[in-house]
Amino acid sequence: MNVYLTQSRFTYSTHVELLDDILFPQKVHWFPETYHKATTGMFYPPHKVAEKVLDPDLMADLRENSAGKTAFILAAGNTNFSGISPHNKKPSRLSYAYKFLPLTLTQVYAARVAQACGASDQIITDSSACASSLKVLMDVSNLIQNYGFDRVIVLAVEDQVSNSVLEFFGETRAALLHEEESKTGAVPSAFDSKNYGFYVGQGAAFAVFDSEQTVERSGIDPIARLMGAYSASEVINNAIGQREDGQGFAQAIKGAAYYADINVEDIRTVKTHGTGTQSNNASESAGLRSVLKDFIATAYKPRIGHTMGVSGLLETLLLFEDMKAGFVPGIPNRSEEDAVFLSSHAPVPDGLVLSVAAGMGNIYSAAIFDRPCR
Amino acid sequence: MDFLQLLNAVARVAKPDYQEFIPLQDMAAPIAQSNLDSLDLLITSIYLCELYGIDQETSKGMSPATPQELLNFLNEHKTKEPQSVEAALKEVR
Repeated sequence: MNVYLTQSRFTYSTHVELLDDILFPQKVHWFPETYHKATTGMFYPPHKVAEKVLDPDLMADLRENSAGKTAFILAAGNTNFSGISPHNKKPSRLSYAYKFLPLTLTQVYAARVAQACGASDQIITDSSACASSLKVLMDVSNLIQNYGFDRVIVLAVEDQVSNSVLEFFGETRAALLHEEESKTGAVPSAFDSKNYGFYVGQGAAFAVFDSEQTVERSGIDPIARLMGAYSASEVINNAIGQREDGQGFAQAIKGAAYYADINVEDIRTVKTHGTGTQSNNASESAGLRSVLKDFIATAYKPRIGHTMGVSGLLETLLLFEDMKAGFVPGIPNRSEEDAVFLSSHAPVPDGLVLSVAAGMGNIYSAAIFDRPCR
Repeated sequence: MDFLQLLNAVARVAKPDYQEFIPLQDMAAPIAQSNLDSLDLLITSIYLCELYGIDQETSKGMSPATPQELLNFLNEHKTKEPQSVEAALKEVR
């Protein structure tokens, strides 16, 4: 049973701004308007980000033209949207106290959106940290191939630019903090010897996956075919660390290839997780090189920021858009020539596309797609 | 300002766009007739408490069955009130 990506909407911000009134000053990619009136407690930034991809016309179409048995998955990265965390005491421009507590629970919010899309046969949420939106593609495949679902709708949104997330990534020194940036002159990049790290970024993605029969029945022109997806972990004692040998990445890729029933040699284009941290650079490049032979790889976080649980799916959709335009993009801010972890745009090679993501809590996800259909 | 007009306007914002909302025509009519579910009603109540300047602690005591009961509660505890339906909608949209 083939599974197709048939419709999508996504958003990200290229507006980069230094937030210097927070505990760990850092630059972010964000939509400042999502915080407009947030202090009243009547508006919630993650919902405002989600609204950017919740196209009312598309939702009405999905609701009114049912494909049959339909599921909805909210890939939220967390079980709660995180901005209301009481941990933060220091007032900042990100401070607010949202008054509608039920809607801060991701499952409640998921139900609200799912019903508006006519997806009422199963409504679930995922909290697999930064792997969330790619991890759910394993669920998408499973629901369609093994449980008779005709359609699975995925909304990926998280409360990325919030006090608690920025504080967490500041404490763990995972994000590129302003102090370090000023001291070293480094800018966000990945797999580079000079530039490294990421800014946190707001973004969201909405995607519709249909069964082969649904595609045939509706005559929808698919964007791409989802061939297989898998999530894995690795043997490590550090719940926020990554093995340098890339075991987790390798396991996820091998699993996705097994369920896609393909030879890994056929994978020629890779959308990496690409946070650009020292740890991820080592782990991901080792994992990829241990499984793949002849490939080119790109990374989107230096361009759009790290959108956390949204990043896997959002960056995959961005890659499809770029491939449709005829290229696989170079990784921004590379300081050396590199034909594998691309330092400049490359033509789209033949072969399959691999997307990978990793999350704190020892999770690695991989999804394999046939080349974009459009 | 007509309270029913305000209530209907705020409830319409609280209710998802695609779902039917039946405007209330009578201050004594059961709110349930409007097709507001429990989450919609909770959201509507929070909006109204904000518009009437009622703190969260006080608003916990609100469980109206009719628009009149809702108005009575708001009048009893209000610290301000909206000047018009249009002004109210600007605050909640």
